[in-house]
Amino acid sequence: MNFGSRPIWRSAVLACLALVAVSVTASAADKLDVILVKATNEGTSDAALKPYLGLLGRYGFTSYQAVATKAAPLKAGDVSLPQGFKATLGEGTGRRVPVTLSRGGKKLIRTTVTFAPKRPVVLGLYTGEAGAKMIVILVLAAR
Amino acid sequence: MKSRETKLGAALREVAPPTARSSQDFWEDFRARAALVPQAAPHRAAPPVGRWLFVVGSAAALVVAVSAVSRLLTDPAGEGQQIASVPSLPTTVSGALSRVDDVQVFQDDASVMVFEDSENGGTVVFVEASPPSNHT
Repeated sequence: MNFGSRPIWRSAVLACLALVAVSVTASAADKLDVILVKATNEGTSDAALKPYLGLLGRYGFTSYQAVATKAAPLKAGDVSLPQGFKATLGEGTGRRVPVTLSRGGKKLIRTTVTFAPKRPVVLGLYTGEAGAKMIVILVLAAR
Repeated sequence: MKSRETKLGAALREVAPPTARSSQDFWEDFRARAALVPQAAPHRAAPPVGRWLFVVGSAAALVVAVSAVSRLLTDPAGEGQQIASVPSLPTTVSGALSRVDDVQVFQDDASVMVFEDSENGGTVVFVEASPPSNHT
C-alpha cells in the first residue's frame, strides 16, 4: 500500500472535510417556524395554512390568514413579528424551551413547550380585538 | 559432466565463434534493450504518513469534542425558570405530539385550556378572557 500516492491523500482530506461538515451539522440548533395567523369570520382561509387548518379550526373561525412566517434557531432569542408581536425563546433544555409571546412590549402568554418535530403547537392569543383573534403556530422543523 | 560441457562449448564455438565486443558496446546494447522494457518506478521516500494521519485524526477529534461541548453549553438546565400556572398534562393521546408543560397568561380572569389534538397532529392552547364588565 503506497501511502504516498495522491488518491489516498485526497481521500483522507475529503474524509476529514466530511467529518467536519457532519459535526457542524450535528451541532446546529433545531429550527423553529413561527407563524402568525389572523382568524376572522370573513373570507376564505389561506391556502398556505392548509396543513394547520384542522388545528386552527378548533377556534371556531371560518377564515385563517397567515400574516407572517419566521424561522429561528431553537435557542434563546427574539423572533419579531408584524403588528408589534414578538416571540421570545428562553434558555431551555434540548427541545424543551420556554416561549413568551408579547405585543408592543406587553406580555400576553408564557409557556414551556417540549417540541416534537413537525408537531405544531397553536397558541390562541387574547388581544381584545372584537371579531378576530391572533394565533401563533410554533412548529419544530424536522432535520 | 564437465567433459560434456567442454565438448558442447567447443562445438558451439566452432559453429558461432564469439565476436569480440568492448564493454562499452555491451552496456550500450544493454541499456537500449532495457529501455524497451517497462521499468519499476524508482523507490521514493514516502512522506511521514503516520504524522499526517495523527494530525488529521487529532483535528477530527477536536472538531467532535468542540461540537459536543457546544451542545452541552447551549442546553443548560433551565428547571428553575418553569412556571406552573397550569399543571403539566399527561400524554394521554400520543407521545409524538409536542407537549405543553405549562402556561401562564398575563391577563386577569383569563382561562387556559390545552388540547392535544392527535387527530390533526398538534397541540392547541385556548386562551379566553372574560369581556370587560359593565357593572359599576
